[in-house]
Amino acid sequence: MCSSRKIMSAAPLIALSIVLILSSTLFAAGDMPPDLLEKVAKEGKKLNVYNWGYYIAEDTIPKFEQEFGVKVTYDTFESADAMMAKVQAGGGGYDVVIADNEYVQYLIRLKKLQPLNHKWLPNMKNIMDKFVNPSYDPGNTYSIPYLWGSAGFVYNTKYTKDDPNLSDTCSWAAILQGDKYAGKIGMMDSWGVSIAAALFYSGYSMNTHEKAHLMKAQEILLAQKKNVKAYGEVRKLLEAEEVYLATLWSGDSVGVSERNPAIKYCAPKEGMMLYLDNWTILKGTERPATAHLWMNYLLRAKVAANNANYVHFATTNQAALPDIDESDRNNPAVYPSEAVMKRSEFSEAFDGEQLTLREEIWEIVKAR
Amino acid sequence: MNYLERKHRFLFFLRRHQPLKICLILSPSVIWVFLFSFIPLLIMIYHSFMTKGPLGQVLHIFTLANYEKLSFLYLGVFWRSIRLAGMTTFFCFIIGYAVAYWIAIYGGRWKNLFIFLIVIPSWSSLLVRIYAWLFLFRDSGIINYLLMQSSLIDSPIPMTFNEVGVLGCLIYTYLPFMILPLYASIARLDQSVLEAALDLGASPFNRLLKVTIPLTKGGIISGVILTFIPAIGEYIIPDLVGGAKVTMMGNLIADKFLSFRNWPLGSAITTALLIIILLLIFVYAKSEKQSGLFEVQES
Amino acid sequence: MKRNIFSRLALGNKLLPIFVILVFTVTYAPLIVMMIYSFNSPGHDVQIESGYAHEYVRASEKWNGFSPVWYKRILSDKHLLRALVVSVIVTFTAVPVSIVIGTMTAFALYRFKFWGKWIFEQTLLSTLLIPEVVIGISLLLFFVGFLQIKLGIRTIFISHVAFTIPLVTLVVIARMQRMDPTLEEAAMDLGADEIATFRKVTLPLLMPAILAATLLAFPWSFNDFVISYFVAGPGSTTLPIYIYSMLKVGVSPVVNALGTVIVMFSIILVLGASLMQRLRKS
Repeated sequence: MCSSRKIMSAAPLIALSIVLILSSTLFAAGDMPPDLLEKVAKEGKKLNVYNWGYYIAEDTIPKFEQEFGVKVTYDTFESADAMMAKVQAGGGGYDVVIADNEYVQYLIRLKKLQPLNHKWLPNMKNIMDKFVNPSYDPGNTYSIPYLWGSAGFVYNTKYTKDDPNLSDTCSWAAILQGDKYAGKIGMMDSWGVSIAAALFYSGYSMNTHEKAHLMKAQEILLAQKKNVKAYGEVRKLLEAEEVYLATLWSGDSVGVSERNPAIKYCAPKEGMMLYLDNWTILKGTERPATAHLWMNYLLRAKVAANNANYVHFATTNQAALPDIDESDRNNPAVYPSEAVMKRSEFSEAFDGEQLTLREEIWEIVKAR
Repeated sequence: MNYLERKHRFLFFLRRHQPLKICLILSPSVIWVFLFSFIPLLIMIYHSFMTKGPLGQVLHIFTLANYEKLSFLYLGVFWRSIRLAGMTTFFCFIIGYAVAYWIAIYGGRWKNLFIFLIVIPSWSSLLVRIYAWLFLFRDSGIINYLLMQSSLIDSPIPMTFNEVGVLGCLIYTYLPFMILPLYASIARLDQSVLEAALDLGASPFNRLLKVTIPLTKGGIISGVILTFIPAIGEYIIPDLVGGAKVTMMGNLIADKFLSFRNWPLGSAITTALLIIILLLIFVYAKSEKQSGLFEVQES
Repeated sequence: MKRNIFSRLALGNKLLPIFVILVFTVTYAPLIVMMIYSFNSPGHDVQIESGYAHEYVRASEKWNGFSPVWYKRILSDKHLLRALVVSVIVTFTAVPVSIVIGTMTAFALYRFKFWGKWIFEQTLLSTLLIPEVVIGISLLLFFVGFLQIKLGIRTIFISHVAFTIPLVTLVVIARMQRMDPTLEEAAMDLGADEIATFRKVTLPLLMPAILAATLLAFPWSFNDFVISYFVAGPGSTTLPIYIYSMLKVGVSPVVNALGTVIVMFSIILVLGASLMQRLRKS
């Protein structure tokens, strides 16, 4: 009698534990809808990913491949324009491509993107509120945010002592104005960043449409050119101390500072360009389900935190916050102060005349 | 019919139809070259007349706007390309002639070895050689380091990321291409002619000017062509050594395709470059026609 | 006369050789320095088993001691190894094809006279002289704008064959011009038909030229950057393209090692093949 009672009351417990055990084995893929996994199997378990170089944790892809048995072909690009060129030229065979707020708009307008199936992306709930339903892609129809960052500049404190523009609040003036660092300045080979810098420094919005503003920016950049050692390859030059100041992406600056603590990042008081990188799926892909699988995987809290910590960019994933490195969280390079954020802007997607104007400015600056 | 008979029938047939034989042998080459060298150029010329869409796409609307844009901005780049290529050719000629002359005349048994040694580096990766050059000449490179250590200079001499650096690297890269044809030409000189010139009272310098150089004209022209023409369109060297500051035609064109997505304009610039180069090749070809690069053997 | 001989000697034996030595030095100095520094030990501990072989490490001008660590790093870089595989596949397929087609072309151009021959010759020659940027871009437009096919190993293969054929043709024809035509005639007189003549007489005579052409074509295709850069697609990054992106990011030590490997490889290849040629002759 006692035993049967015990069995009776043990039964629900046993059932519960069986359910728990079963669900825990499924837990690894528990955030993936079963119909998604089915489709993935049908699609041949392959995926072509196109991303910025050094913009993902090293173990992300191997772990993804291991968990889902999908073979990932991972290609990288060093400039957004190169990516656009390949994608515009006919996709280049990629399934998933990363694009920032500006380029997502271009891609949407060019009808190169495939709308997302949110049912296949249950981890979307992890996204921070402020990045949900962005203005450049209402409803996250085509894109999922990944990481965001800024484009300020770095300076080598060993050589920039007593520069008034590099005191507690630093200014674009240090790198754009004057001949103090003649021949020791590096600029990234990006017209977006450079023109934005000149515009911010002049007190204008980086998204201005006024020709007069843009002409002022051109003046500044032209005057600066003789002091610029090189456009592009700035990390190399910074490390070798051939340049003392250089424009640089925020995440990259953390790596540089780690190796040379004398180098610091400046989030200029006039404001700087911000960018928010997103994952998108190219239209005409043969593997939409696998692409969704990838995106959903990257939205996992742990995975997102791992990526953010590795590349030192700011995460867009709310659930990942607890796992973000202390050092990054307290680093104004990765998470700038409120004051600077107020002045900083995301880039608009220029087209037509605006784009041509800016391109011409950059051409003139580089060709003279 | 067995195999032998069939073969003979076939060959007999071919013998009668010379043109068919030629066609058969040449067809793969013609197809490949025509399809993948010639037609792409036509396509590019086509694109040069198209319009760029507002978002960087290509709209198939005919326009001459791209050629109008080849204004003074691009002329500056164009002039720089010609200037740098010209200077490269000039220096390569001076240096190259001296080296080729010495090897041909004084090289002795080791002539072939010397030429071999000069040429081998050009067979390894260009990128690696440029990198090695940069490694040596950068501000933080070995040469500047040694100079500073021995207190000869205070701060590094900038030999990279400027025109001087690009020119130096261009000479370094194209020297073998100048030396080879020069050497081939000088080596074929009749030594007795050279001796006779001296015997007749000419000074070595005069002999160089009035005898040696004119006799090696063919090699000189080949060398100049092989250096000048590719140098105009050089892309990697101004990009890596010039730090994107020294813009030559090659960079301009690549930029248009990879950075700015203005394919029509890029095509227009490329077409302009192509026309110039074809003109130069045409001039060279006409002068070569007499000496016949591709001789025909009557069979 | 004495004055002349003396001044000739002076020029020949003093200035000129020194100058030549200088030129040789400048030609090899960068490569040798790079090779030496590829064995330079880093000043600190460096992670070897890294997936990316090039994290940022400061290029040290000082000699820190001998160390092969950079070479080990190369082997642990998956992306680099993949690029190497792609390069090998492309070169080892494209070059044989272009050798065959190129030799056939050389043969036809040498033997026959036909309409459009001069144009064809000039087109072939032009392909060698036209800047690679122009070729690369025209091919990009062709594949993507016109044919609308996906870029990848296939497009790289096609492009490599296209620009190697003229090279092979040139080398083989140059040799053919120095060949004795009577040998072929003799063979035919003795009763051999065209095919047998070609196989037993012409081809063996051309072997040195074909070998030379192969020697030139392999490095040219393997090390090609510009053209491959424009027509490469996903998963088809060749080694030079990979090196270029490494150079842009700029890490010296590993590139030193990689560069050394490539240069040594090219030199050994060329030396080995020409040695083979010497042996064959004797």
